[in-house]
Amino acid sequence: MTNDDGRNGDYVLQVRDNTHKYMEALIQENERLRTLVSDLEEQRRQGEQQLGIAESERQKLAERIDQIEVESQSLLDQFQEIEQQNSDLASLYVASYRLHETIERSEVIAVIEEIVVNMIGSEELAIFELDQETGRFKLVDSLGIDPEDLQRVRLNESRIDEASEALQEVVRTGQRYVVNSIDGEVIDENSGLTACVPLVLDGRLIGAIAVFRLLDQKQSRLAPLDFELFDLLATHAASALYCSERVASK
Amino acid sequence: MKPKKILIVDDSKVAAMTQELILRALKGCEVITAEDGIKGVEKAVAEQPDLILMDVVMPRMNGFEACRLIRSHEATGSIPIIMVTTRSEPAHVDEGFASGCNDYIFKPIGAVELLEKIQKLADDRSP
Repeated sequence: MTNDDGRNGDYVLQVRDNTHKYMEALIQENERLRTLVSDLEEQRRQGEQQLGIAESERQKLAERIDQIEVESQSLLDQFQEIEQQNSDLASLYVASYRLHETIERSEVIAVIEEIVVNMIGSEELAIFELDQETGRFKLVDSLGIDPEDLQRVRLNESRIDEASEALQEVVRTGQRYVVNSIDGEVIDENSGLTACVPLVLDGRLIGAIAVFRLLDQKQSRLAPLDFELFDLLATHAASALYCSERVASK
Repeated sequence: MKPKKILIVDDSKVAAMTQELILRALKGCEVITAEDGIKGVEKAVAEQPDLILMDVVMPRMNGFEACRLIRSHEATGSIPIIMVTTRSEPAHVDEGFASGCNDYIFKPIGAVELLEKIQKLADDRSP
C-alpha cells in the first residue's frame, strides 16, 4: 500500500464518516420535522375542533338570537294588543261617562252621535224612539241622512226600506241587527245600512239607532269594539235618553 | 324624545277624552285641550306644546285654518301637528298637508297607530 493509497483510504473514511454524520443529521432533522408536522397536525386538529365548537356556539347563538327576536316580536304583539284593549276600554268608559254626564236631551243626542261618528266610524245615523201607544218608531234625530226620507221609514224606498226592515227585525227579536256580516265583521259594501241597535230599558224596547254607511277608512269592517259599543249604546243610550225625556217632560 | 306636553284640539268631547286616555300611555305627558280652532291657536301660542292633535271639522275655525295660523307664528311654527279627522278623501288629506300638518290619522283612532305616529314624529325630530 502506497502513501497515496493510504491518503485516499483516509479520505474515503472521512467522507463516509461525514456522510454518515450528515445522514444522521438528516435523519434527526427529518425526525424533528416529522414531530413538527405531527404537532402542527395536532394543532390543526385542535384548531378544527375549536372551530367546530365555535361554529356550534355560533349556531347556538344565532338560534338564540332568532328565539329572542321571536319572543321580542311576541312581546311587542302582546304589548300592542294590550294597548288596543286599553284603548277599547277607554272608549267604552268615555262613551258610558259621556252618556250619563248630562240629563239635557239635546246633549244626550249629541253624545250618541259623537260616539257613532268618532268611535264606530259612521257619519250617517238616525235615532228613533218607539211610541209605546202606537207601536211606531218616531225619528228623534239624524245625521248625514235626509230626515224627510227617515220620516217615511215604512215606505219601500231603497235603504230606507232596509232600515225599516231592520227596525222591524229589532222589534221582533229585541236584538241588534247587523247587515250582511261574515264572521261578525265584514259588511257588504253595497248595503246602505250597517246596523240597527235596539235601545232597551228594563227589557223593554224604547227605540233604536240605525247606523248607515261606514267611513271609507273602516273598509266596510266592524271591529270587535264596534259590537261592544252597539251593546253599550243599547242599554246606556237607552237609559240616558229615557232619563232626559223624563226630565224634559217635567 | 317623547313629547312632554300635547295639545288636543277637537270640538267633540268624546273624541278629545278618548285621545286623552290613549295619551296616558306616554307617562309624564301633560295633555291640554281646546274645543275649536281659535282656542287651539291661542293655546298653542300660550302653552307651547310639543305636539298638537288637530281635528279638522270644528266650529268657528276649522283645523286647516288653525294649522296655517300656528305655522305662521314664529313661536309655534315648528310644533308638529297631526290631523285627526273622519275625512280620509285624498283631496282633503292634500289640503291638510298643504296647510302644514306633519301627519294624518283617521277616526276612529287606534291607540297603537296614534302612539306609533307620535313616536315616529319624536324620532324624526331627535338630534
